[in-house]
Amino acid sequence: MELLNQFVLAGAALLLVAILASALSYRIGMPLLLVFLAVGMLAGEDGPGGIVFNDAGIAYTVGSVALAVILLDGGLNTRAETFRVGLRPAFVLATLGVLLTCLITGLFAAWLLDLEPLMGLMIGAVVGSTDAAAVFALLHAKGLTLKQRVSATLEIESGSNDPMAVFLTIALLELLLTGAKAPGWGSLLLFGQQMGLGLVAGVAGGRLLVWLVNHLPLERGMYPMLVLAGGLALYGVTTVAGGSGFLAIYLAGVVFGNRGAREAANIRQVHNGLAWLAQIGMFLMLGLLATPSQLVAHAPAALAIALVLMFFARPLAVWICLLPFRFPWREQVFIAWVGLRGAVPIILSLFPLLAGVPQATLVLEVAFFVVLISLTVQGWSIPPLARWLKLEVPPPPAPDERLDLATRMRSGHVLLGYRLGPDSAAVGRAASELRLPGGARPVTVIRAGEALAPEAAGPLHEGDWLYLLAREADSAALGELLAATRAPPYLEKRQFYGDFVVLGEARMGELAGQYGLPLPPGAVQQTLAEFLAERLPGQPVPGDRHRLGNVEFVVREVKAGRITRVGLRIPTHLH
Amino acid sequence: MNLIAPLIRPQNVVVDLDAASKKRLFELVGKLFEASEGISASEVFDSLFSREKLGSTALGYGIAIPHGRIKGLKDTACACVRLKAPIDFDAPDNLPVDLVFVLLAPATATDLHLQILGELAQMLSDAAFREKLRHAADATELYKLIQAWTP
Repeated sequence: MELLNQFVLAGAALLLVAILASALSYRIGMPLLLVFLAVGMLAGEDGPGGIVFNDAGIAYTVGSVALAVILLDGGLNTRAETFRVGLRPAFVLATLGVLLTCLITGLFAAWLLDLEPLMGLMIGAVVGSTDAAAVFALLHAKGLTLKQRVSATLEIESGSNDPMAVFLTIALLELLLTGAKAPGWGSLLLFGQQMGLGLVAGVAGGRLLVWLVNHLPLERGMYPMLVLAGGLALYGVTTVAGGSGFLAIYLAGVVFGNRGAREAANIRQVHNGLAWLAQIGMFLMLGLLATPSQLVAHAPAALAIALVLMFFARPLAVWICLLPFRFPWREQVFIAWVGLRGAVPIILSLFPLLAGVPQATLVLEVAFFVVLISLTVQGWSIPPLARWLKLEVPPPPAPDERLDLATRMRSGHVLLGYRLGPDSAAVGRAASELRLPGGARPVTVIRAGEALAPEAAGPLHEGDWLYLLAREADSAALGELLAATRAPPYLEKRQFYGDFVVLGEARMGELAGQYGLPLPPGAVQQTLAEFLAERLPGQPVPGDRHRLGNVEFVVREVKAGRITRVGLRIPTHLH
Repeated sequence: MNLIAPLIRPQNVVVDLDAASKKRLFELVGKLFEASEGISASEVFDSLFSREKLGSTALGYGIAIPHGRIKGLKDTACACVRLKAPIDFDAPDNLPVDLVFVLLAPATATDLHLQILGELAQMLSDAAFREKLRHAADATELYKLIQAWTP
């Protein structure tokens, strides 16, 4: 009893330290997951904590559940519209990309460490997939908004490539255990079974969850738990049936998040917290599991493998996979570099250990080292790289507070709160003077702790909170008017998109006449949208640019795959 | 010295103009240029209106910079109008517009036209300056403010 209480104390203390340390990570820019890993290692057997934890079975179980929770949250936050630009490239990266990375890294590891080819490939397989937790955490970090083509591709890839790595690991493990030398039809069948079952279970399970949430009268706090329990059950069922549970739970999240279920905002918020808890728990545990003193022996070899993975295998795989999609080189470089490895390699390297494969500890040690290097080097350098490659776009103007009304399902109404910044266009005008889009109307103005009726508040001040009742569809237009811009100067809208906005349906002939642009033959009759779509790589996304004569067109808004609004930058901005 | 100052004649700075719509505003501005530059008001209207069809020239914050090219025009010309009551301009932030700078360029205009447009936008992106323009007592003071502005 006494011992159990001490376990609770130790666990809670670790959790608390990890959360407090995460505040530090904002200050020094250290990747959050690395912080958790470091806290775990400090508490572990080689650190001052001295906790000895070597149970691969528990680590594997906890790690899998935590990963499932993280993937569910990732799915819930994946917007279906990002599929339009990201799904196909991400699918190729998540399958062929993982295979190529595994082959290149694995063969190099086999050569370097003088292993059997299959054993080398095992190393390649466990480090083959990018980490959803790490990628989501980095891409959603405060102040980083990337071009949609890049963020969508990376997110969908990281959410869906773990099944491929799991499959490769299991297939290689079976080959190693049966003593076969090369993969046969059985491996292919296994692949089909894993992916097929995962796909079907994910989509069906997601729909079932939506139906349940919308039809069961439950206590409000129970809905997020229902989704959690349902998701994990789905993961379990699929895995037991021989499919990819990770793929299933991710897809269930995607389906659920995009079918307008009741309490969606509440559910998403709770799951966001759960995903953080899962990440902290998982990385703390992996930190505890690691024995840094043992890593030293293979450090030079592991470092070489990590470098080959980061600088050769991943970039080459990305380049080959993205060939048909004509991504600009900047975006390819970025995607190649955001090949973050996280918890999955460590969890996967427990497979051979649990199966009793000889030399399995070597796989674990190399995997651990690769993850450490990747999180440190890549995790730290991603925000500056995004800026250097000019892949950031102005963050979408979001309300400071939003509250879904209980009737949102039927009426679509939400309550939005904006804190008015010094540069808000609304400052100095009365709330009633604002031309609010749609049927949005001001409800109250909170000033110096007093809730004022909008008519009585007079001209709005800086620092006022303005609350509006609006339809969700108008939230973007309201943001343009009210939301504070938190962007650094180079992402300021006027600087980024230029001063003027032209419509996608504008005729090129007229635009060229207006601004003296040199038009290539045949473009006169085109609309601006057609003209740009022809010249931009792949699917157009906001932030794509095309220079014509002395002006630059910057795609500003894309609706259903069509460019609808374009910024016009003129020479004063083009230096 | 800025690029805009030499393009504005004092009589082309107007305060408290009474126009209830974009159309009405362009008609009145056409008459202004007809008097000062000797070009036809309807041509000015057509030019400005066809530019608006490509996308609103409102920048947000109650500002718009309608512009266009005119065949017979000799030199680039600019007018500054402060409206009595703000009008709908299809602005990106949905705010009605009360400060309008109109820029007309000859059909043969070069890059300088773009430079001037850019500088106008830059001038009007300064919140403090916008407020000064809004609170200027009369057209003369407004004119002086524009003359004195430096990029």
